[in-house]
Amino acid sequence: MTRASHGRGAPVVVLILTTTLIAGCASLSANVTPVIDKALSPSTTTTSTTPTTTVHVGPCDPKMSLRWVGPVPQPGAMPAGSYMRTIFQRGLLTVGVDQTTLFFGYRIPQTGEIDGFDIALAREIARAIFGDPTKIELKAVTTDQRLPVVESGLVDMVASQVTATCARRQAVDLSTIYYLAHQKLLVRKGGSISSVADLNGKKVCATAGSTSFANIEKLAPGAVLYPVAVRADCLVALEEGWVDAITSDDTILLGFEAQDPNNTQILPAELEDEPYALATSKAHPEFGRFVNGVLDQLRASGRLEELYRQYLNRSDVGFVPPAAPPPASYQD
Amino acid sequence: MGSAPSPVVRSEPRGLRVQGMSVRRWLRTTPGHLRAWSVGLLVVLLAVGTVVGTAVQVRWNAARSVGSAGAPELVASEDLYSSLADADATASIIFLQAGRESPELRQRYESDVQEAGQHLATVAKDAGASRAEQTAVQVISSQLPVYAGYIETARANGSLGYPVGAAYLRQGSSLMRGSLLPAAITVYEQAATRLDDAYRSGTSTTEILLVVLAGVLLFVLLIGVQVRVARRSRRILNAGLLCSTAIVIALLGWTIVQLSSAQGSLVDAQRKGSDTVQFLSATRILTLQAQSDDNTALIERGSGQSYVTDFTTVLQSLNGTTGQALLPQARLVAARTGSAASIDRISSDLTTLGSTHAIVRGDDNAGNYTAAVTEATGAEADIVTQIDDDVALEIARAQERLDRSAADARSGFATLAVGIPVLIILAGLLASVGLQRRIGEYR
Repeated sequence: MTRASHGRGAPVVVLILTTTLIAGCASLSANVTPVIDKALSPSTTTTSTTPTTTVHVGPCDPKMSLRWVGPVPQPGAMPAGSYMRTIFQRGLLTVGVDQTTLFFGYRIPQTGEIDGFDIALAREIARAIFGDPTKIELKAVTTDQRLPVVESGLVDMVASQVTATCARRQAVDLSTIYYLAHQKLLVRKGGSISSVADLNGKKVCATAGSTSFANIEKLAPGAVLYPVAVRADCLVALEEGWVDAITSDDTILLGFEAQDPNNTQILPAELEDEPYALATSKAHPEFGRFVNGVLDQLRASGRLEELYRQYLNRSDVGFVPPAAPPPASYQD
Repeated sequence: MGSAPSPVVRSEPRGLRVQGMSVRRWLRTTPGHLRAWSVGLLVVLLAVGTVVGTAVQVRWNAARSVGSAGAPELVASEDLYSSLADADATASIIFLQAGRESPELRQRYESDVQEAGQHLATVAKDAGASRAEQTAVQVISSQLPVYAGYIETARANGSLGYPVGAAYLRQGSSLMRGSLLPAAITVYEQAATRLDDAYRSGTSTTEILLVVLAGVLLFVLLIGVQVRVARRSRRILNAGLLCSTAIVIALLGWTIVQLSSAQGSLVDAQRKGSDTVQFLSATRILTLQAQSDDNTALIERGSGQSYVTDFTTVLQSLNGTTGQALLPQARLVAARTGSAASIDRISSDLTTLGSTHAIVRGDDNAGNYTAAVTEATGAEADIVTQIDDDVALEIARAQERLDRSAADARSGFATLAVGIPVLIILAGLLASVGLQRRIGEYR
């Protein structure tokens, strides 16, 4: 009599299922960011950006950018040999954006389309190249991937609330400032936190790779940081009670508050300036200069202010955007 | 039957005495011999009866546990896994379709969650549950409501147009993939192992070998006694002993036939039933995971590269060209029942799934998001449903074969369980009567 050793079913199947599932989970683990010890957090902030301690030649003003000299070329008439010409011939401008930040860059669930102020601004760049603002391809990128995707050439430009810093200017070209935001705190209404001084021993959510994350470590050294990969995950963490506060730009927090106005509130204190710039690759500086030329046109024509009013006038939640965009500042 | 005077045994200082002589001397006489054999024969008969009875009991238990516990537990744990995986896949389609959400999908998601709860209750009742399994069941029962809560919040936010909805969906999906599905795998694994153990104990050579050994021993003893009796009594045949021998041979034959046929049925249950159930359930589970991957990649929109990679890995382990992939193995198993053609159909549907995936990715990568969503919630969802239906049908068929063979494996044991003591007693009686006749001749 033979034993029924034909039944390879159980172990084989279980093995395949387990390994596949584990492989799946391993690759997804980036989405589940646990509370990490404060001691470990610096590594998270600097994984994909350049080191924060850089030796500068001369004084650095993070707001200073490179000038487009002469008249900005007409749509469809990009100079031969320029990167704008390459984009034009490809037919689409690829832009890295966020899709979880209400008002700035978010996916409208009903249509699946991504919209927001940053997207509108990117469309203006597409309009300047093609004469058609729809010639654009959006790629959702997480906060800590914003600079790497520009450096690697995966996208032509990132429009995702990138705060201009000197360190970031070492890695990519940053445009002139198109919006001046401020780092603030979002807390639960009626909670015990009323200022940054109350954060000692509290859990604070911030997006990994953001300037807010690096700032809050200095401003509230006693706080326990809770980093997430995707901005909106901070709101989940606050609503679920995993954290006591969120720190981020007022523009981002504004969207959070609008999604849960009954339970959350933004504290008025401005912790830090967050000047926003568009990021392009250092490999083709003419494109960065071109973007600045287009931004100058938008400032001059009043289109930029129009976009402020269209996307960011949220008087219903007590937010009014600045009346005018910050002036352009050039290093050359 | 003459009334045999029982030997008078008196206790004396010099030892036991029987019929006025010492036991040692009495045993050397012919009636002493015969009496001793008679007692020895009865003891051996009882021992053999016990061995055979125990062997049969072990096999019967194994056959019963395959049919009554192992197979249903395996099916329940697979149902549990499938309903969880289906809930995850369905929730992701619903989210993608936000704004034009179909009531059928909503219904499907809700019944998935409800069924998962019911299957969980079934699985939790398992008597033989190990500690690991109990922990896993506890994880599922405590996390399932949390999961459903995330999905509900995702839906509520999504319908308000809030992007935090997607964050809740992702939170739910990671909970599902990070803790619910692995716990379901543990439950499944334990059920599969228990079934495997039942098969092993129901088809091992040990019991049949024991029965044959005991039978040969008894047979040799019976023949030996008859030869001795024939020599001493100068009579060649002893009807009682002869009948007893015949009964022993019949009993052993019956037992071996029963054990082998039950074994054959169990081998069938495994080869044609549960092997298929297992391969196809895994196929179903992984297909659902692939679908979730593609939908989530679209929901994540650009930051979902890990899901795209996972889709490729999953499809490879399902339908890859290597011998390690599930479908080629399932095909070999299906060939045992001549149903390889249906596996071929599933395999070709999986190839189609691969090409619709390529279209979805192509559209999405080319910036044609709406077309990608339409393809994913249309053609891709249809092909997954097609595969799921086909697989479910084949699983039902295999389960039927499994149930039938498991029932076959159990049949006949009840009669044999009564037969063994009856025949052993009968054989003992006949042998005693036969020997008593000879002993009586020395009166």
